Amino acid sequence: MSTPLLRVENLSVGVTDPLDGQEVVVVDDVSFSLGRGEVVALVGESGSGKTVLMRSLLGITSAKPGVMQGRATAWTEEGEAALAPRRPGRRRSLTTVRPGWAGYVFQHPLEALDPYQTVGRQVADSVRVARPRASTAERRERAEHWLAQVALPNPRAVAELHPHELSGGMAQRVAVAVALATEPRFLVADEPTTGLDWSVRREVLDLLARLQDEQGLTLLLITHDFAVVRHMADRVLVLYQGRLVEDGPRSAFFEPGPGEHPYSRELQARVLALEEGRPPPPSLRAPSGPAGASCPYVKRCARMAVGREHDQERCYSEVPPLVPFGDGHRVACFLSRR
Amino acid sequence: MRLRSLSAVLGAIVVSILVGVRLLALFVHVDPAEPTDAPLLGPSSAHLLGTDQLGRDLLVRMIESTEAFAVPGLFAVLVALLVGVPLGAAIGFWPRAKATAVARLGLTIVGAWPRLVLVVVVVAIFMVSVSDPAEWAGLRLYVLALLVAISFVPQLAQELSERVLTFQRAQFVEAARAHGLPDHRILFVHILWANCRELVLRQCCLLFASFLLVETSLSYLGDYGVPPPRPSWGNILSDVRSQVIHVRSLARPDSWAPWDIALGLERAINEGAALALLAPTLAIVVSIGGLLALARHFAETRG
Repeated sequence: MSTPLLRVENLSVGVTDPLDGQEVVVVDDVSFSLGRGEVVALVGESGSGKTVLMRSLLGITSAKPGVMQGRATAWTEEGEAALAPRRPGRRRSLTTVRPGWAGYVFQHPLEALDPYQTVGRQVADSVRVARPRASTAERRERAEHWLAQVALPNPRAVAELHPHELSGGMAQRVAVAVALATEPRFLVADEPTTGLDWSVRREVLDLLARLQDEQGLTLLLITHDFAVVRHMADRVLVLYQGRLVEDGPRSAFFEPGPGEHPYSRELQARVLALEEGRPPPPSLRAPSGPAGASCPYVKRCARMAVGREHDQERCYSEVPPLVPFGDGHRVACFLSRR
Repeated sequence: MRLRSLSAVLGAIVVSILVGVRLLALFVHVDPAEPTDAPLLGPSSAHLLGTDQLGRDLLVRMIESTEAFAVPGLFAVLVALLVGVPLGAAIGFWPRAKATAVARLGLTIVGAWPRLVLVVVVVAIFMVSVSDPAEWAGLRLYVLALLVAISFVPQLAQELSERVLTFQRAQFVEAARAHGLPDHRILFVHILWANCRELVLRQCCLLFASFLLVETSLSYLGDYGVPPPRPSWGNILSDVRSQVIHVRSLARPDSWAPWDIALGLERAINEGAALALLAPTLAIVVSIGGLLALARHFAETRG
């Protein structure tokens, strides 16, 4: 792997359930690392904890207070910065590395923009984070530079618009510009293409790819869209019920083989069925919540029908750890074979 | 013209008239106790609105009355802004802090007092405790303003804190945080300035109207408002109270024909000095109405 940028060790995030006030573990003992300049896709079904994982790392407070445990280490220009919470419940986040070190592109760009401020002012505000000493004129100029960078036509005119005057694609570009103007080393894009039509989707993806290349960004894409994964990602992280079940290069994720996680297989089978207009493969919808001391996927697992007796017992009694499978590929499954 | 811009125009006209009259009052200083002519005269070129029951020019007194509320009213607005805005912003921005709970309790207690009762009780205590009430008469209005402002703070802080709280949880605020914007910039620029400006302006209009109402009411009632002989719209009205029956008898038309009604009104104005009743009443109604229209305008532009 290239120079490391971020290492996350044994991260767990608990969230208080608004319905019954119970603590729910949304992210469970997740460890991974990102190299500088990598493009990584984080996939998994809704509610698997993708957004919570990245938001807690970036310190984006939601209405519900979360409890964060584990360690995260970031490598910045200034050196190493540990982000371990000092005690449970005390939050520290990537934004404490340096303001603007990490950027976040939100799922709904229009909601992520201040409705009553012009686009230019919002981008200029991000510029202020990266360059606190810049004058107002310099900030405005810089803001227009970023609006031009995200391929908006006539950035000077766009800077004068309010968010409601933008189309969906333009708003997404502006959201990217707002995130980039803090000059981040690490950019998280939360479903950047949801709600956009296919042509605009392609443009936004090409834009992200180009900027990633030019700025040397590390890009993490949270997505449901396998076209995005196939088009852009170097590496894929698969999250299932808050646990990381597979972490490997894109080729290992897309090529079927005995080494991959059965959940990754199921996800792809579903997407493929949808694209080809076939009915989806039958699924046993897993009951929500962790299944105690067993593999979280055991109740839906297709391998349970064909695996070896000895290993299947372990699936019910132990949580499979994420073990290396050669060449930067890790899988959390007792039944995977080399 | 749409109703929304109509209320803005009405409000702006009324406020500019008030400002103009207050500036005019700087130039027409006369001894408020000195009669200038015979009492209860009808309008003439010498006295455009006639004279009151002590023979003082009514127009001059109407103009000078603005001194009773203009500057103290702005003082009240200033106090409410200085106390209410930081309080409301802090409560909304740190909803879980312990100090927030204490501040909320305090606001509830202050807010539970009926405004007029609070004002009357405290002004009474103030007047009893100063050695020479006459000497403190000018200051009394500022005490009044302070009290109205304090009684207004819970309302302002409450509305502002709710607004700040909704924006505090808005996604664009989360986004701004994620991008590393400092808290103070988010609070002052993105929440207060960009999104709560109209709300605060609306509350300022309401407070000013409320102060005007309290001042004229107390002046009308006597002891706690503007001390005579200094004029106030309230005490001009109370001075001519006894005229009401006389004016009514004069104004009664002989028939309901329009010219008879006009004739009755003319009689009431020329012989009964009905303007001494009408002018302050109209002034109060128009001023408060204009301020409320302006408040409504702010409410409709995202207040």
